[in-house]
Amino acid sequence: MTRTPVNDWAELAAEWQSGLADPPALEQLARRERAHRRRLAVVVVLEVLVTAAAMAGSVALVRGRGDVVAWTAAVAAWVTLVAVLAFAVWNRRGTWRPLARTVEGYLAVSELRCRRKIRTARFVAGFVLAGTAALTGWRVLRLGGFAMADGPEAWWRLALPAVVVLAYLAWAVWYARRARRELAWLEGLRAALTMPGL
Amino acid sequence: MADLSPPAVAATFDAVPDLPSEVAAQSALAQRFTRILREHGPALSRLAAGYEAEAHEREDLVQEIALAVWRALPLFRGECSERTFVFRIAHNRGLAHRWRRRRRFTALDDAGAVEDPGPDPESQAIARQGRERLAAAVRQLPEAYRTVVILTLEGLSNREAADVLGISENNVAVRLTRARQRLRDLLREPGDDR
Repeated sequence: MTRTPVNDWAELAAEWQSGLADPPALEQLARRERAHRRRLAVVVVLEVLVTAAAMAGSVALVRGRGDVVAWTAAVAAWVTLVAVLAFAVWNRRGTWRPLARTVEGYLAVSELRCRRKIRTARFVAGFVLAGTAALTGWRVLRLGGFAMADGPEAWWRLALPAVVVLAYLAWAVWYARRARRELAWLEGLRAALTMPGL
Repeated sequence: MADLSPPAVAATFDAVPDLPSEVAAQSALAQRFTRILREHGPALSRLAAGYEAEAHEREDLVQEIALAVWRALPLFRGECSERTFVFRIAHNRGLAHRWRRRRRFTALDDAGAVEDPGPDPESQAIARQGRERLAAAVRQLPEAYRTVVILTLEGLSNREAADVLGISENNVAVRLTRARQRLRDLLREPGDDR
């Protein structure tokens, strides 16, 4: 068995660099790049479709019914869309992560992205709770409380929104925890990298 | 051998420029990417070996690095040397890979030298063993030491390594001194003279 040279750094470097390797296969790279672009396109199309459906649905609701309930639902949908879009744009400022940065710079931006993810989780949780409180208050004021007709359909009207709210809150908790773990790892790594002697 | 000629590269990446100027630009970009792959491809593979033990995941990482270079290339304005540019991307991708695979790293690194099966039946088994042992030792280094060691083993000066990492040259020197000692300890066989 060969003895890896220990005391001569030049020999060590020569052994390291003696590894022969072909450049990455171009066809494979191209396949991955095309798959990446397709995924991005699908995400963009889905976002556009969901937004368009929400906007079209709210307009149709107002045109079809025209009552206070329809207007309230339409305004709520538009406020949600605007709030989510505005938050997304604001939250992503300065988090573009060009991989050609220095390693220390890349770690710094990665930490920033983690903090913004935590902020996103808080925003989602807060927005969902605020929306729930607003809808509950509106229902109490408008319809005089939570009196419901008997039957399974009435329970679904209460249970389904509750499940949706809980699902969003659970996702927010999980997302924030995952971001905090990554942030801790990145902070430790950056501290180790930038402080000499560690 | 893959066709790395600029037209092939451009065509493969679905470059469909609309204007003559875009044709020239895309061709120049493809030429540059081709040259970078030729010049630095082996270094990228070796760097990936410093971050990943499993051959199949290593190949995946090399591809990720190459694609990251391709995507970043249009924005490169010569703020640093091309080698620094490529190594920055490579190390940043390596770190992201480490985070994604972090749960599996402890078990793999603790296994010590991992025999790389390798596709080449004619490669010298002993030389390959030595390289893999060195790569396994590098993978066991703390992150901050590993980056400095890999860059230095690739022939970068302290200044160039500092440029890649975004730290001072003095920091690189201090870190490298400690990293070398740690690497020697990992590579030292029983009975070696101190």
